[in-house]
Amino acid sequence: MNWKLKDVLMIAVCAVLFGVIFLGATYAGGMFYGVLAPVGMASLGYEPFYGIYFLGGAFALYVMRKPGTGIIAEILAAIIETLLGNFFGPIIILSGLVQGLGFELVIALKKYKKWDIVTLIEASICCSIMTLIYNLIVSGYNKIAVPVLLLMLAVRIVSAIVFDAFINKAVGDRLAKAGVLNGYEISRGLNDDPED
Amino acid sequence: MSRIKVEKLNPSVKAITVLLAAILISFQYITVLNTAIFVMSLLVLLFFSNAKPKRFIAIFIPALIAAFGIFLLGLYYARGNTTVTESLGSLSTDPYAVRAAMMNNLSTALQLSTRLLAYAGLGIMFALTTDGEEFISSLVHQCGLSPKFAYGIIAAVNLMPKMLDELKTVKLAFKARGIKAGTLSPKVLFTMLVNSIRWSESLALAMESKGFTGDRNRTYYSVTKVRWYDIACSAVLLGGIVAGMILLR
Repeated sequence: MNWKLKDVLMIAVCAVLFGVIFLGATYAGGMFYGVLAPVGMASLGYEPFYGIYFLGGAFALYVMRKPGTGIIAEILAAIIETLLGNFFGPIIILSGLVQGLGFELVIALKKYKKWDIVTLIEASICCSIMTLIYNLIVSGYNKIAVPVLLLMLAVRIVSAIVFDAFINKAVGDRLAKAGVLNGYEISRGLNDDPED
Repeated sequence: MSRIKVEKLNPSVKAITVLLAAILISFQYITVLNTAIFVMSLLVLLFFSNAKPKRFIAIFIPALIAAFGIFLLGLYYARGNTTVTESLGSLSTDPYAVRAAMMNNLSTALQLSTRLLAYAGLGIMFALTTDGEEFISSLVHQCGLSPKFAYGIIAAVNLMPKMLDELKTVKLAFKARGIKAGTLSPKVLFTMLVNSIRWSESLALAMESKGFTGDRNRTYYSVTKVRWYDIACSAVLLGGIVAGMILLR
C-alpha cells in the first residue's frame, strides 16, 4: 500500500485531536461516573464516550476509503495515546487493533464501495460488539451479569452510532463540500476542478 | 548512580513484553498474582527508575478511579449471583446463602479490579520510563515501522500544545458570537478538523520541502539496539507470571 506523508500526517493529527476531545469528554463524564457509582454502575459512565474513542479509525476510513485505513489509523491513534501517557501503556495498541478491525470489517465486506449511513451504522454496531468481546476476555467482563453487559453494549452502540455514523458522516461530507478534503477519495467527483 | 534502570531497556522489547504480559494476565483470575504484578510494577518504578512522583500520581489516579468503578461493577453485578438489592430482600430468610453470594461477588470484584490494576501497573511502568521519541525510533529499527509513519507520529504529537490553544480559541470565538459550543459540539469539532487537516497539509509540505522522503535508507542520529539484558528482563517478567499462574492456581 502506498501511503503519502500527507495521509499519514492527516491521520496522526486527527488522532491527536480526537484524543484531546476524548480526554475533555471523559473529564466532563466524571459526573456520570459519580452519579452511577452508588448503584454500582460507575463503569457505565465511560460508555457514552466510546464513540469518540472509535472516531480516529472511522473518520480516516470514511475520508480515505482505502483498505487497511481504519486499522492502521486506530493503531496509530493507540501509539499516540501511549506516547501521551495513557495508564494502559502499550496495551491499548491491542484494543486499537480490535476497534479498527471491528469498524472496517463491515466496510470491507461491502468491498469498500458502500459509504451510506446504513453501512456506517452497521460498522458502528459491529465495532461496539467486537470491543465488548475484547472486554469480555481482557477486562474480565464475562464475570459480569448478562443484563448489565447488554445495557453497557446498548449505550456503547448508541454512542458509536451517534459519533461514528452520524457525526462522522455529517462532518466528513461538510468538510469535503467545503473543499478541505480535496485530494482524498471522499471528494472524488464532488468538486471536480478541471485544473486539479 | 550507575544502577540498573528500566529507562535503559529497549522500548520495543519493553512494549512487547507488556503486551504479552497483558495477554497472559487475561487468561487467569488469580487476585494474588494480579496484586503481585501491580506491586512489582510499583517497586520497579520506585527502585529502578527515575520516574517523578508527580507524574506517577497524575497517571495513577485515573487508573485507580477506573479500578474502583469495575470493583463496584463486580460487587453489584457479578454473574451467577443475586444482586445486592435482591440479596438484601431475602436477608431474613436465608442469611448464609446471602453471605455466600456476597462473598462470591466480593471475590469477583477483587478479581476484576486487581486485574485492571495489574494492567495499569505495567502500563504506567512503561509510560513513565519510556521516552516517546526513543519508543518511535525503536519501532522503526526493531519493528519495521516506516519512517513516514514514525515522523508523522512525532510531528502530530508535538502539535498537541498548539491544538489545545486552538481549541480554546475556537470555543472563545463561538462564545464571542453568542453561540453555545462545548468541546463535544459538532461545530467545534468541524472547525478543529478544518484546522487539523490544514496543519497536516502544511506539515507534509514543510517536511518534504526540507528533504524528507520517508525513505527507509535514510541516516539516523541514534539507532536503538536490543541487548541481552532486554531479553533477560522480558524473560524474567513473563516467566514470573507464567510461574505464578501455575503455582497459584
